[in-house]
Amino acid sequence: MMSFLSLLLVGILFPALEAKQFTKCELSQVLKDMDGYGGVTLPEWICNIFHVSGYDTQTMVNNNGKTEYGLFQINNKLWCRDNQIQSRNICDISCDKFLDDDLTDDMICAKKILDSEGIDYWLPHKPLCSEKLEQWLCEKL
Amino acid sequence: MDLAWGLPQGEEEEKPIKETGVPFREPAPERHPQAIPGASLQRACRLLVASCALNLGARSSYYLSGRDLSRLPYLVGGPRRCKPARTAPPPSGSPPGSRGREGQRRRLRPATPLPSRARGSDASPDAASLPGLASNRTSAPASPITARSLPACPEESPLLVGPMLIEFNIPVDLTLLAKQNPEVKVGGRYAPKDCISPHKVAIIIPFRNRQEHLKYWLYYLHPILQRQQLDYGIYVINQAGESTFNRAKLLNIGFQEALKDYDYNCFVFSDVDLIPMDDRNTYRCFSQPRHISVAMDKFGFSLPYVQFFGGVSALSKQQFLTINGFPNNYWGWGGEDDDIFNRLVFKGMSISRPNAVVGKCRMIRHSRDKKNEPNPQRFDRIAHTKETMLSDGLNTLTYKVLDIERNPLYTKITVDVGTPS
Repeated sequence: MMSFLSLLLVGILFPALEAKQFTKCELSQVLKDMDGYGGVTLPEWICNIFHVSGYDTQTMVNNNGKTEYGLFQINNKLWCRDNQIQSRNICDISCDKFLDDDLTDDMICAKKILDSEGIDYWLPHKPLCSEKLEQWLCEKL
Repeated sequence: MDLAWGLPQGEEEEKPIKETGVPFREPAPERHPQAIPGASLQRACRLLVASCALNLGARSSYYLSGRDLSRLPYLVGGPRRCKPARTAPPPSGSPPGSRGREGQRRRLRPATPLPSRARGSDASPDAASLPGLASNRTSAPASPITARSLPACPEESPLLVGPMLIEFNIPVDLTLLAKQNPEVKVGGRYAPKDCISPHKVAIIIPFRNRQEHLKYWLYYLHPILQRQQLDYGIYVINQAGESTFNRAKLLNIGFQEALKDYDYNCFVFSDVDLIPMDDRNTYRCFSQPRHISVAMDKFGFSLPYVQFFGGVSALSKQQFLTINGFPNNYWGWGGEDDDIFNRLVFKGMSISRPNAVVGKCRMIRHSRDKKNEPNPQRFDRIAHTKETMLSDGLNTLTYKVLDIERNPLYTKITVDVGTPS
């Protein structure tokens, strides 16, 4: 009986642990602590994330022989390991961990990327995320 | 099993034995949960049903809370007959000038005397390459060539209904749909009968392998466009072959090809999977470039970012020419709409938009198309629009028309757009 109940609860909770489509405000809440890190403001992060992944944690894109994973589109050449190519794996993590809705590991790695390569790792920054940043603020926060 | 009856082990020997010789057994105490076999299973089932009901209740209330019930959709966005049908011109007996293609396609009807409208450029790279094709390039009459003087259509159409219900679960039959839209002429052409519209609109749809979406688009849009009293034509530009999709180049081609049919003064560029939810969102041009799909359900019925110009937009012929048309070098998904936005800004134009209520649109959900992966170069390219717009656009457009189908509800032009250089 108890095992069935726990199985039932797991079954209900399971979708909650899966991939997620964030909203701007949800993301702003989760990424609060990144505001100002390395001189990059929160709206800049939100803008870049929207343009590289559309707030969808499941985003996986092949790109000049690399594959980029998750909200921050972290690549498997330098930052995480997958079974596709040899990686320096600087963040010491499996790339598919960036496809779930727990962003703690994504944020840690993104900060490392920022330290090492700067904000221009995220290509939308120059053309789309350098101005009109007010629109990326969450009004409700 | 013995323990189920709850008798402690030690007491068994003390059971009194009656005269019958059958050992007396005390009745099982009531509190045992498995007194009725399967009780736990029953409870588990009840729990499951209860949680499902809770789930369903929560989902329903969430869904319904987003509904505006004060505007009950009395019109499903289907075809509507406002006036009694006019006597249609008698259809020609047998299709003339057969080119030996599949029977479904409708041929042109050259029998009707056509007005000698000013057409676009006559010399086109495609006409020469396809023998017999040029001769079939005639436009279906947009309005009768009698001397009858019709009034101008009103600024805002009196036929509009406002918000509509848009669903994608009904199967669409194009033959039936054509019958339900008898005023639409072959090739997807229509002009209001009772007034002259200043809006001569070519609607250009970039296309490859999306026939199901196209059917929904035609089903919803033809009645809407007619209610908007537009003088319009539908052009589906189909990319031939299997190489990477190039949306903006197809739109350039649509502009050029449509002008060979009629002197359109306005061009609406629409993705095939976007349907407006309010017919007050007019598919016409304005004094500034018009963004039409401003509140897509995909983006929570709001603009994803202020520089967004994708989905459905409208540029007048002049606005389009001013920016040298669209870029031809965006292969794969994304960026070309941002490039177009940049072009407009660099030429001193601004974006005109309807409000977010009127601008609501539904997108037909679908998985990512093959051969239309996100373009890894897009961000770098849009950082250089200013330099590239002079050398990448209408003035450098090259393509080959492979086929033109004049279907009852749309013209389909299949083209070879080449490959990324």
